[in-house]
Amino acid sequence: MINFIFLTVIFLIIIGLFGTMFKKNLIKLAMSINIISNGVNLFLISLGYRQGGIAPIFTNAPNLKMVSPTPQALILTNIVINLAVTAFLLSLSILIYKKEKKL
Amino acid sequence: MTSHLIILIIAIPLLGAFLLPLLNKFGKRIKYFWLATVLGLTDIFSFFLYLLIIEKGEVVYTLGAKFPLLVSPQGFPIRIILEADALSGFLSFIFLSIIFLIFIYSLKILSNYSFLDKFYVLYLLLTVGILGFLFTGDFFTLFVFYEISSITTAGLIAFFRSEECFKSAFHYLSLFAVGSLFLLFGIGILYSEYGFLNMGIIAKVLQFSFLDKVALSLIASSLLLKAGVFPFYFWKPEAYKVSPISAILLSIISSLSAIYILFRIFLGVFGVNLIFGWILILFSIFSIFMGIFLAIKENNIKKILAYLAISELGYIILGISSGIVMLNNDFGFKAIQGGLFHMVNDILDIGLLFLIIGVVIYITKSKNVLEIRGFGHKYPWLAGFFLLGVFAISGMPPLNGFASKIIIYESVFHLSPVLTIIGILGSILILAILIKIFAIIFLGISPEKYQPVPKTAMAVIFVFAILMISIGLFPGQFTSFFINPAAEALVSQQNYICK
Repeated sequence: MINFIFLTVIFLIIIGLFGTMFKKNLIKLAMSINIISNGVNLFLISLGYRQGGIAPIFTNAPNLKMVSPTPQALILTNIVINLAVTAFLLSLSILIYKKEKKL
Repeated sequence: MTSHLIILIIAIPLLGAFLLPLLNKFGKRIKYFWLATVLGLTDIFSFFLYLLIIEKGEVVYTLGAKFPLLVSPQGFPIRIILEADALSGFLSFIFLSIIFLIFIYSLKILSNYSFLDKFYVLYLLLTVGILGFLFTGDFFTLFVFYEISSITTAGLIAFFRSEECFKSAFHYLSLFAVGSLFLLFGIGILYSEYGFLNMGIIAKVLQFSFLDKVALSLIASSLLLKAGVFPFYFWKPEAYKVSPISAILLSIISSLSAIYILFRIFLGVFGVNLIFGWILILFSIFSIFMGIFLAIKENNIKKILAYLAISELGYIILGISSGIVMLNNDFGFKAIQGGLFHMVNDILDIGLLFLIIGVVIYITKSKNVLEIRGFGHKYPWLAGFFLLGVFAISGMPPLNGFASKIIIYESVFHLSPVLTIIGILGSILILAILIKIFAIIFLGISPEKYQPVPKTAMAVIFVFAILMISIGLFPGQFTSFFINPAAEALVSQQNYICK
């Protein structure tokens, strides 16, 4: 089970790296960076997963079997940062498109 | 008050950055006054922090609670932790002083451009990113500050709003987005093994397994990317070619802080590892030579200086990493001292050259500086200071570059004489390249008439020159007050980690 998740992580990161290295289109570059980011996020969130665990809220957990909240906080931060980076990349590609008329 | 100095040093520029667009409505003077207050106050605080550290030892600041309830088995609070010791305190004081000087320099030089308020917002945020690198005590905060400095640097690269700028900013940002995700992946591997993000805890429980080495190489490669040395130097000339001079200097400072945190993690968390040290020595030699050989064939002045900046960073890494390799004898400590000393001298020397080139670009408004002839005829002071910078960067006595490079040469000699020869050869080649540029731009007679040099810029150049000469004339005093405690702090990591 867990190996399957890690395989997916590696698969996503390799696809993203391939895209960043070999794609010339700016939108596709931004998409590849997003794919790498999703791979890393999936890796982090799978670290905190427990079979049958529930959301990490103390009052709701009768037998204290909860998923770890720290990776969730980490990927929340990473998602926000990645949103900023993607927005910046897309706005730069709009500006480049306006001047050069191609992506 | 004194216990909150670290967080104030980070929080004041952050607050200043976000208040700046509001203050923009009240006119130019208030905005510049606010900027000067924010940067000056932060600088003064960092000096007090340094004095506090010298007096009482390392300062550890736990965010959110003074006495946190949740504590790890090793006795560390599970929170965001900021730490400062003699090395990071010293570097923050030096860097903040130079950032303040660069702000004064860019007052007049950049005054003709629009979007200045946004420029200064990014300027302050990049300062926050640099300070976060210096003070961070856990890995995730490191990642956040890495992203802050990457995004703001990309914004500063796009400042001139030409097509080239946008392309360069796009490439920079996409490169560093990938780099920061590698950093996060490495941090995630460490977290998966030990369940902690705090550097101190990880240093205690680390077993140096295969996965740890993978994590170390991921973290180190992303930090080397930020520093812009050998395997990842390619972004530097492209980025420096189009960005304004003030942004270039800030970018050099963020490279230096990346080198700082690289060695902090390397020595503090992973311990002395000879193989990794030798790899870094190899990288430093390659970056010294790569920078110089690529600078020879280049014909854009900003690109040439960017390549020389790469080779100067190579000297710093050569000093510190060979110090780590031979840490068991006395010369190792000496080499680390030389490397840390060269950090200060690097930003002063290459900074002075960049500042003078910025003035030349401002006065002549020329696209290609290397087409200018006889500039020294009209501006002998600028020519003199440029020559001073050339001599300092190539390690001529009695200037500051000599003071640090001689320490590096003498101590590295005991590791391998080849390294010293390479270092001296590199310095000679740097001198040759820069003397050629000096002759092209400044010598001869110019038929054209230009406006006078802006007074603020000239004053900053003068301060840089005074600092360089005084450090060069009194290296002993400077070393004993700043460098010795810093090198002690880098070597004796146990104090830093175990608080």
